[in-house]
Amino acid sequence: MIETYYRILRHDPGGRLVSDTGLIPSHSYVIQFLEIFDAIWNRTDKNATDVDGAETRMITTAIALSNQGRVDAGVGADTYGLVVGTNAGTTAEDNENYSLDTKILHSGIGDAGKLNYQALTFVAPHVDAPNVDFHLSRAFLNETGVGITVKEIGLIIKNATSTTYHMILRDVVADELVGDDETLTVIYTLRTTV
Amino acid sequence: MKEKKANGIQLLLRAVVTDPDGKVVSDTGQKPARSFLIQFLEFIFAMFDGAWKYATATNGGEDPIGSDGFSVNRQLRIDGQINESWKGIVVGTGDTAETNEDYTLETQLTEGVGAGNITHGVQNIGSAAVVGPNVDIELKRAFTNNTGSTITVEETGVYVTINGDYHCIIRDTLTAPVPAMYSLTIYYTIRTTV
Repeated sequence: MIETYYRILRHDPGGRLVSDTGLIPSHSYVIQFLEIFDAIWNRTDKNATDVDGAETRMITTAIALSNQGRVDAGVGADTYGLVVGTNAGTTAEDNENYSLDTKILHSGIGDAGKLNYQALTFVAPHVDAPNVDFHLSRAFLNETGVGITVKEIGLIIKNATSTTYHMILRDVVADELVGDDETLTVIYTLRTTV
Repeated sequence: MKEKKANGIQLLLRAVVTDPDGKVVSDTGQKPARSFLIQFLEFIFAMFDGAWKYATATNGGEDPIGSDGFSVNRQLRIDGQINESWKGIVVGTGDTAETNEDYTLETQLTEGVGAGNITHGVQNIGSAAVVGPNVDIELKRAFTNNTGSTITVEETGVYVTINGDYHCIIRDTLTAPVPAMYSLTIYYTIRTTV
């Protein structure tokens, strides 16, 4: 089994830790994740439901894998990688979720209702006895002047060739009120253990 | 928020032994398998990051795994053919307990009809599909004992090939006696559920 956890931290403008959820079990891989391996193992092109609800190409077998399945989003890229939302429609987790309910977009100048997306970073798979852990982390800065409440998180992959985006993981989380000038950091941990 | 257990990416193992007439003589049923190995997370890391990563190969060397310039249809191949023992589900006689960093079966049964051999069937690979509350992909492979003596299979796993390099991504121990002329079928189910 690959156990999967998320952890959400908030820091004040001085860098002091305001809150830390600790590791919380994630339970929400969605069907698009296994469809990646369906494509790879069956060596067949795979369309899947994208973040807009359309059936679009997720994996093309004749194209380099380095153009597909990527989550390494840079600063300001809110279309893929780790993303956060407000879940305004209170959508529950489901195997067939294909997008966040209400994604919070990026703004580098403090536009209302938006967060400043930083680059996604990895900690490569490593032995942390008795487990092997792989961490993905992303920080979101609130520069809007008012609090923003995050209620959902997810992970979106990018197909750079077809410029399509597919969500592979979504979790509904306890309310995280990100105060003005605070930074929210979301960490997903994929863990194997025998 | 109601707490739920981590579902993550589940792995289930089933072993079925049949006599030469196809009659089932033993069936373990689906049991939780424990042993996604570090190489599987290293492949996911490579895909997410869009760049080669190195992982321990079945020969103990460090070889590339995943991504970069090679097309998807050359990545993580498990499509083992009849009489092919170097990719797909494989079996062996080693009984050393699993560890996160296993990189090969302890004592693999290679293709053939002599001592230390078993006859490999074709690797079957299912499609990702919603099955009740879950999303499943099933991998299945049959092995026939044509050696003339009983073989006790004590380990199974999945080997993948990536552009000519071979990696083990799953390994589990079990005990499955396979009399002469009998067949063993190994099923791995990879499952996500919210």
